[in-house]
Amino acid sequence: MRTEHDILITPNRLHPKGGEVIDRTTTIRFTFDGVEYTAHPGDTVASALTAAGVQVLSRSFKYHRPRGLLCCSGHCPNCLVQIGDEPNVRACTRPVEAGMEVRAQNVWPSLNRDLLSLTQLGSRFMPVGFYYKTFIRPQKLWPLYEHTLRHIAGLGEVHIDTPLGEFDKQYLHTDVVVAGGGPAGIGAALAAAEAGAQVLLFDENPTLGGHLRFTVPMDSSSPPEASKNLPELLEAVNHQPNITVFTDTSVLGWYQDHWLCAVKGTRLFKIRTKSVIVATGAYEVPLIFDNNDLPGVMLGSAVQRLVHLFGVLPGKQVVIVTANEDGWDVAADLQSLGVNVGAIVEERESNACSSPYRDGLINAGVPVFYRHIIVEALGSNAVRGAKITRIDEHGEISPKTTQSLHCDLIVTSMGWTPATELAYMAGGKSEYNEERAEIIPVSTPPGIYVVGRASGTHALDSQIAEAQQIGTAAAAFVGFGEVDGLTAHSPDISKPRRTSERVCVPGNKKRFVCYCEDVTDEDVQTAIAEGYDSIELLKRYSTISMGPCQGAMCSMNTIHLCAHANSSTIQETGTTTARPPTTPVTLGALAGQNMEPVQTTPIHQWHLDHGADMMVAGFWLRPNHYGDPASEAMGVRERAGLIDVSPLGKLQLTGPGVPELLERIYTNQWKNLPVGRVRYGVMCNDEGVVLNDGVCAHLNDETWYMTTTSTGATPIFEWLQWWLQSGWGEGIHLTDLTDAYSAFNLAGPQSRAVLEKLTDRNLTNKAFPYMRVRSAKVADVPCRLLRIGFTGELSYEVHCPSAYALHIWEALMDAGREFGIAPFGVEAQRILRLEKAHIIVGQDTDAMSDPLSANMAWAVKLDKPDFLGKPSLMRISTEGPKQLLVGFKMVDSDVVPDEGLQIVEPDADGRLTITGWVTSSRFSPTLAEAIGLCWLPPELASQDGAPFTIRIDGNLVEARVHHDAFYDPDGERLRM
Amino acid sequence: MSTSKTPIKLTPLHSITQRLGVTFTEEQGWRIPEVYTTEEDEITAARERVVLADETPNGKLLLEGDHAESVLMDALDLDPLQVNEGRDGIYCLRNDLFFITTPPGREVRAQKKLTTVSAASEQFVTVTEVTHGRAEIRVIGPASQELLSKVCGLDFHPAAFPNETAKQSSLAKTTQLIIRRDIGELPAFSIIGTQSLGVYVWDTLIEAGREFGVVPIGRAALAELIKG
Ligand code: FES
Ligand code: FES
Repeated sequence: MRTEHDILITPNRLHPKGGEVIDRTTTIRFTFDGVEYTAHPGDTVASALTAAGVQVLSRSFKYHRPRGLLCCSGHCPNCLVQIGDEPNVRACTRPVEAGMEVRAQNVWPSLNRDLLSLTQLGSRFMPVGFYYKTFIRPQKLWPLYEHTLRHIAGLGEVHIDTPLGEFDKQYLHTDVVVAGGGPAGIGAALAAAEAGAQVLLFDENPTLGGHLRFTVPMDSSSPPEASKNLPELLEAVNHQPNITVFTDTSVLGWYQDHWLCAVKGTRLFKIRTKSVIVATGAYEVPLIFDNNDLPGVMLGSAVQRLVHLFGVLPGKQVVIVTANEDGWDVAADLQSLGVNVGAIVEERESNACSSPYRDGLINAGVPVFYRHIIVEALGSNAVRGAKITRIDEHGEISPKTTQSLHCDLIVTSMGWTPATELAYMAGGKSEYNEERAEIIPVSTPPGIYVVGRASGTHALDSQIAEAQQIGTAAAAFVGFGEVDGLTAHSPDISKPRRTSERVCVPGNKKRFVCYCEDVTDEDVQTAIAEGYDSIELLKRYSTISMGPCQGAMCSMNTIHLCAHANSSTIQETGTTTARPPTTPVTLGALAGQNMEPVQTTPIHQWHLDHGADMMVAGFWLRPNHYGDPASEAMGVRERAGLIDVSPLGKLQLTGPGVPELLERIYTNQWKNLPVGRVRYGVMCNDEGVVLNDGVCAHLNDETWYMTTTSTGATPIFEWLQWWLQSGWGEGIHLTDLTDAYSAFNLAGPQSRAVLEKLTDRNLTNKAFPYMRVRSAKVADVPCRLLRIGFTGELSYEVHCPSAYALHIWEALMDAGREFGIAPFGVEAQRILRLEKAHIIVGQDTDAMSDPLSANMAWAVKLDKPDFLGKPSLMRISTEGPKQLLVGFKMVDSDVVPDEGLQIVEPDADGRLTITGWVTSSRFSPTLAEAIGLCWLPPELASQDGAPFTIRIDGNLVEARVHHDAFYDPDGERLRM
Repeated sequence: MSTSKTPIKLTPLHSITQRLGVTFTEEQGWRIPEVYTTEEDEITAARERVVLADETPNGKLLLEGDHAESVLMDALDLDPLQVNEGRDGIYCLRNDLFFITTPPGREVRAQKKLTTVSAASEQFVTVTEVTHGRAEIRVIGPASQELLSKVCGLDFHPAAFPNETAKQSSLAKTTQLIIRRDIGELPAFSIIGTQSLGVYVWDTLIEAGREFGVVPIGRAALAELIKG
């Protein structure tokens, strides 16, 4: 029972009845623009607000006109609101939650008094396309235009500090997808499933049933059995193990090879199916007349949804405007609920009307105006009446016969347009059906089927029969049962529901074609007159059908208007191209869960536990430093340091063909490298550009162990694979051991003493000299030791099986304690290598750098028979490099230029010419001065000590070319 | 030379499991989680929902060469690789590349055998042990297919992915070898990929499986499940 209190706060709520989706035993509260309202669980935001008598839910995009519920099905822009941080929520489909804060969006200062609606006054100066023409001059004012336009137009607010939502994705695989869970979709799904196919059944509503949920038959003798049997249909679906149901889920698009995309809230589904049944129903088509966007002008199906699902009646006095039997159904439906049907305005002659409810309604005293049409909705913020007029024998309106009817709700039921976007995305073809005044699919590619209202079949009994046929055919197509040759379907037109092609009634006020973009009938005519007379051009120029509903409310009417203006047929006019998404989808849902792979070394936790500041290098997390990189660097110079270099690429090459391959991929000599030796090498591409560098160790007769840069591990592995598969693979096997081995660089004058404590291997300089490789047990674990030195000190790279990494690392740290060992990070390593003037590929080189220019001519043997990049390098060698990579020292030793800064040369007038750039720079703790590497013109780079200028914060600062390594240029410390 | 500690092998997931306060056991030189909560709870979770088990210690070998298959066959004839509890397997990744898994520790013998046979055949076949380079996570339970469908585009239905078969695929934007190794009636999938991505893949599976109540299980519960 409704109490008096209920009636006061929800005056539009009807008495309880069957079929409702709301729980009247519970009341929850929420706010809209700061005002508190009540709702029942199951209510949508819009149904609760309508129950409370709220009619204006939003303001239009351009003119800020008041807008209220139109479709109540999520297919128009009229109920877009902001809920919390989420903009553009459709109030008519979003369930209300306790405590929800709902706000009108894009209004100033408030929804009911939106001063931005004054833009309407200047609307005659803002015809279609006006911004293309107006806001291009003067160009410098564009920032101002943009700011103002963004303030006036736009949809909702996005807050940059909104916490990230939890979005994710799921892949689904099936035999048959049925998009749309109305009676036709359910029937087709059941038929396919019964034949043995796995079926996924999607519906955008919270429950299956489609229009059967809210179109209650009035006359028990006329409705087909199926409508009374919706519960049985749902029961059959529940008991069919081959069907999986996804409600609240919109199928957004069809892609090649039946790859579908659907969204349910924050989850995106990617679906691989063998067949698709499009059962997405139809959109009810609005009528275009003066003020047709006034709150209180609604589609018939919208009113029925509100009444039957939520027990809410959006008006007290209703005028129904129709041109087919649907309008009479709505009238009878409302009247049976005690609603005052003030009038039926029927476009047809009385004898054309065959509704079974006609006599009952007339007998009940409902005035019927045959051969009449509405010309204007009266009212300012909401409907207060309707102006109707007679249609003369030529089909034109007769202004002299205009009369006003009092009402607060205008319901239009003019017909339908099939929702066939998915079928068209898949390559389906359509034709205009004159009898129905609908564009319906006439052919579809193999495996794509259309059923129900989407195929132009409106009568329920026909839908059910058709669904059985289509479901069976789809199952047969995927291998369950016999293929019956069904390829396309002829719609059942024995019970036509639409008989008029009138989509627009002439007038002298605003008549909206596209609600989303605020495009009027007049705009369409203007655009066509300006030459945008093809439907695709008209769309682009006017932005019609490019709004949030993607043309659901306006496409069909636009085609009619365009055809009429061009004096052509609908068939000749054609349709615009359907593209995904069919309904708006959040970027969050498209992005899904944040899956950014992160690689960690086996001792990652040790680094964290010891205060490492981690940095991202490629996909790797590496310790940048442990607090003080300069001290870490000095520790290596003076004592011993240990760095985790596990991310280094580690490739094993085996087989007799390896030396030949190495000769081809490196720029230097390899065939002469004895077993037990290590050599540094540079790899180039065909253009002679440096790709990567590293060392390669000759382990035994047929086994080589190559290291690459950390970020180069995978690309170089794939690059080598490519060459091996392309003819260079004879007698070679390649294995990526990057993860199988962890690697630590033990560096510093005490490193030998540290390592000697953990191995029986003779580490003396004689037994294990510089650039050698040895196998040895370290802390009882078999390891590979490479005596190499990126840091410029005596050092050993210890490569151990990764599962022993922590054991080895801790053993080295323990052994080194008495020598003052400390871990060092990437930053200290960068300082140390810069002091030695070693380059880092990718930092000191770029996509144009060749090794001859990058000061590595010593590593290029142009007298080798052939290698990758040789022809290019020969040319560079002959012509001479255009730039050279060279070291520099700052004259003011405390000034460290940022990496990337320009090197400039002022002319006599003080104008600057860029002559080079800085690639690496650091303050050297060893030398106590600022040093770096840079690219310079050869004539400058070749003079040791030559001065040049670096532009730092607008100031010109002097530096000098420095040849050789800054530290230990003769490399004595490496060999000690 | 001085070392105070016995070398112990740790899986890439060790730090995660350590943080969870599990009890550890040792098997073939590996330290692995024995029990996370209780053995019973972990078995129930596996039978009713979905669980993750760290099976990194399983041996892994790569056998490469045009004649790898014949070497493999000869080696099997001589001494069939142990087929034990459904954990042994040979998977053809490419015509000339095979991936072999063994129970923990058995990889040493398998490698020796394959190397000997390969040498005797005088064919150019390379055997490489990659146990240390790969993390292996087993996803077990009735919801395992659904969980994996959130991170991988493969069809995990048994009709499309039968037991004891393997596929290489992208999983959570990483390359993984996925082997279906059901435990009795329970669907189960081994996810094998580079060890440096092990923590990321584990965390991603835990996150994706939250809605299904995913939990990790230790060696004890896994052994019980395998025993049936
Ligand atoms: S009224 Fe909500 S989308 Fe149309
Ligand atoms: S009414 Fe929505 S795009 Fe035109």
